[in-house]
Amino acid sequence: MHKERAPAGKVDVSGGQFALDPVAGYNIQRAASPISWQQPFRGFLLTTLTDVAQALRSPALAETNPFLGWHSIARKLGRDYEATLRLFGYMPFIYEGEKHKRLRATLAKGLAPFSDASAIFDRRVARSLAALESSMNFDLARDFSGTLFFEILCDLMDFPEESRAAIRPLSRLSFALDATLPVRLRDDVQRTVAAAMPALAREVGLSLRSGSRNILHSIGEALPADEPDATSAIAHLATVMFLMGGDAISACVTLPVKHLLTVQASDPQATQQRWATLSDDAIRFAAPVDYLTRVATDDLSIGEFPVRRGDRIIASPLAANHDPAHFGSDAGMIRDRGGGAGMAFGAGAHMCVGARIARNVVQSAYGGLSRLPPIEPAGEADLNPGRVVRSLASLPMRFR
Amino acid sequence: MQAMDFAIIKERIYIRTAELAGLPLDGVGPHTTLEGIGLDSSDAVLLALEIEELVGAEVDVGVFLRFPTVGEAMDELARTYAPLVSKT
Repeated sequence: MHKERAPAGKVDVSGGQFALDPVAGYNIQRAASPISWQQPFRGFLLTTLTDVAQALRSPALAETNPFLGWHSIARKLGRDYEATLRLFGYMPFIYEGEKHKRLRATLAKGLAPFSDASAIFDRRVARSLAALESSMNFDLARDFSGTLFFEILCDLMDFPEESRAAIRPLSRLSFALDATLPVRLRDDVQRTVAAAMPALAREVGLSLRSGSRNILHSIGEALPADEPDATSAIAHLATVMFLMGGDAISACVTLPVKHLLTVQASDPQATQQRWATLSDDAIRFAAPVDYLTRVATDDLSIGEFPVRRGDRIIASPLAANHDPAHFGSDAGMIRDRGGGAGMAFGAGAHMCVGARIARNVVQSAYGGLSRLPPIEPAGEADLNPGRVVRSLASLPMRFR
Repeated sequence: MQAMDFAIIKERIYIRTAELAGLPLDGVGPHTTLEGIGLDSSDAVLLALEIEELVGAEVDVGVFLRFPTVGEAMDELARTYAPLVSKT
C-alpha cells in the first residue's frame, strides 16, 4: 500500500555505505523523491526542510520510544538491563503527554540559569586547547570536542577533577539510541551505566550537600515536589545531559572542522580565523541527531502527501538542513548565514531542551579554535558506532 | 571462524523466528514478513544474535529489516556470509 503513495528509497539511508557520506545520500534521495518509503524503517522518509518542520510540529505525529526494544530483548534473553532502563525513564524526548511535560520542564528550568554561562564555557575551552598546544599532534575528537561538554557540565556541577574519570563513560553512550543496536553493545551500555551511576550519584550527593547553587541544585529545585528520590533523579537527569550532549556537541565541532579544513584552500570564508563567526551554521551543517521517528495518531497531510493513522514517519534534520530549496546551492558549505541552526535541534514539542546551552558551548569552541595556530588534518577520521547521533570517534590533527 | 553449512543457519533462523512470534514452525516460511507475524526491529536484533552465535562474526541487523521477507533476508545472508558457510 505504501508503494502507491511514495516510491521505495533510491538510497537505503540505514546502510553502512550511507553512513560514510549521509549528506550525499540524502541529496540523491531528495532529488529523486523528497518523500520515500524506507523498508528498513518501515516508514516514510522526509528530506525537505518544509516537510521535516511540518512533521516535527504536528500534534498528530507522536514520538516513538526507541527504547521499547530494550525491554523486549531483556525479557526474551533474560538480560538484566535495569540500570539502563531506569536511565531511559528520565529522557523527556521519548515520551508524550504528562511525563514528557514534567521531565522537559525540570530540565529546562534546571538548565536555564546556566545556558548563557559563556565565561565558564570559554574558560574550559581555553584550558582544553592549551593542553593541545603542548604537542604537535592531537586528536580533535578524543582530546577536545569529545570531552568538552562533559567537562563543562562537570564544571557547572562543581565536580572535582579527580572524580570525573569514573563517570566520563556516561557521556559516550549516545549509540544506545539506535533501535537496531546489537546485543553485545547493549550489554556494554548496561555495564557502563551500572558501573558509573553509583559514582555519579555519590558526586551529586556531595555537590548538593556543599550548598553551592550550581546546576544540580537548579535541577533539584525544578523537580516536582512528589519526586520520591531527588538525588537519584538529579543524577539520572545529569546523565541524560551527558549522554545526549556529549557526542552531539562533539559532532558539531568535528564534522564541520573536517569539512572546513578540506575546503579552506579554495574558500576564503572557511579560513580558520573566521570560524568564530560560523558556529551556528556549523551546527546546521552537522545536524548530528537524525532519524527523528514519529507515528501518526491520526490521518494528516504533509504538504500534499497523505499520512494515515499508524504510519511511521522518519524526519531527517540532516537532510532538511542541506535542502537547497531553503539554503541555496551552497547548502553544503558553511557560511555566516545569520539564520540559526535549521532543524538541528528539532522543532515543536520535542525540540532539544538543551539547544541554548549547546549553541553557546559550540560558539565558545569555535571561538577558541579560531584563535589556535593553524591546524591541518593528520590522518583518517573514525566514526562512532551511533547512527541516530552521528559523531566522530577520532579526527587526527597537527599544527602546521 | 568455522565454516558452516548454511542449511543449519537457515533452520535455526526459521525456528527462532517461529519462537519469537509464538507460532508453530510451519507457520514461518520464505514468504513470511516479520511485521506480518508481529515481529519488530528488536526481534531482528535477536535473529542477528542467533547467527552471530553460529558463525562467530558480527551480523548486520539491517539484513532482517532491509528485505521484506524472511526468504529474501536468507538469500542476502547467504551472499554476505558465503566465505563463512557452504550454501546447501
